[in-house]
Amino acid sequence: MTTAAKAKVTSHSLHALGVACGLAAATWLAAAEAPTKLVTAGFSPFLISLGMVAGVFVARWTVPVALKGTGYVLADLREKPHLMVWAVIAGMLWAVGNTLTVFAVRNVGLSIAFPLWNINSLVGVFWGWLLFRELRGSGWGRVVVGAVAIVGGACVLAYATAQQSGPRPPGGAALGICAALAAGLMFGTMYIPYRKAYISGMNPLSFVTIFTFGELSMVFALAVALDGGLQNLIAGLDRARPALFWLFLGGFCWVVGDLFQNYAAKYIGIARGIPLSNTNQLWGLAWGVLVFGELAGQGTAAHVLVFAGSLVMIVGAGLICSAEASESEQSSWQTASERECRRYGLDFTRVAASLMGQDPLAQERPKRHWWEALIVASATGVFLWLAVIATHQAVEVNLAWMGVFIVITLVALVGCGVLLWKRTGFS
Amino acid sequence: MANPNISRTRAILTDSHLWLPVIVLLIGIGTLVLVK
Repeated sequence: MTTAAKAKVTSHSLHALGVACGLAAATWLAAAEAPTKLVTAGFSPFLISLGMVAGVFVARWTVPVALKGTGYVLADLREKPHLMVWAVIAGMLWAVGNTLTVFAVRNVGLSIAFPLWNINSLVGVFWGWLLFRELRGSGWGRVVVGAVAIVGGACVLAYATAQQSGPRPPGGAALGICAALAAGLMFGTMYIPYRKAYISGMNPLSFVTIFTFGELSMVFALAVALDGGLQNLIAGLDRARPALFWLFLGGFCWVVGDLFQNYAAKYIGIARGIPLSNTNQLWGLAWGVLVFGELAGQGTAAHVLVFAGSLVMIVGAGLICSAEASESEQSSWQTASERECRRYGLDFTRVAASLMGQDPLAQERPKRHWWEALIVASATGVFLWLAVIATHQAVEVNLAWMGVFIVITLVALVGCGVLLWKRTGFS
Repeated sequence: MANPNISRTRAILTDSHLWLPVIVLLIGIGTLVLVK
């Protein structure tokens, strides 16, 4: 096989891997919503956000440590220390965005809020094009049409399934719309640090380890500053203890989904990876309708809208899946990567190898340590303890469908995990 | 090779990729204070 043919095969297999990661991310990000549905109302948005992020924090430390070890993560961070700044900022952006979505839903309802914050994938496409030279070359049209179709489909689904419940704060509609738009801007901008890290050759596992500090500290600060102070927060956490397991479980699923999303951002860029992982709305809908019976009692119009919205999203995802980056676009990616190497003194050969799915750092065999087992055991212990003290939440679920979705989600995890391991060794 | 005329701190502080997310973050915090 000639060198050009080999390069083409490599590029094709990385595109397929990135697409698989984007789709697997969608199943896990949707699954993350399920446990939080089990938490009955009565807790403040800040408290729910903090509970979930605490679970995220525990899981984010455990998964990288289990897969690569602390020696690897620390060596990766030492090689690119400047990226820690971006990882913390990305975590903060997520925390603010996530809290904003809660207020947006409170003020204007899900049918208006969701489509507005779902513009995040279009924001991501724009930043990818502007800052990282993505979509420069043939084939960009399919990605843009696909991303717009996914956002459009999500709008239809949100409109069809939104349930108007309870009175809304008077005069809060304008603020609710602002909150939803700002959330979309936060989530879309969060992908700038993601992509910057990966064109610098950082491992997604190292990135999320630092990301979580920004995430947890910002959610904690918001909860203390805007939700009645530290004492109120501690009292709230104590009250929420029986429900914390469900929030932690949601956080864990979110971590797995986000990791796949990060790998998608690494191997196919944010312009393709983010719209694909945003098809989580489709899976979220399936969970809502089939497991939690959310569409029960709705008329034919709602069912038609759901079918149409799902179809549009699937077509959009299909367009992106088939839009492999052309040679000219890949050359543009390389230019963006060279800029990072020049600016921060990175070894371009190592960075390029990492972007091709190799792992130069792992070849140096960083040491594994005994305390890694302790970290994993402690995290597992926290989850087990919370599970023991968790109370049964009075929410009706369809166990058969729940089983089906759990199996699909696990198949996505194992299938995509094996692909990542075989092709890149989790690089 | 790194640009020899520029320290890492300065490289970070003068990187347009930094200020854009920071400005967006401040907009988000401001919106949150307004909405709360």
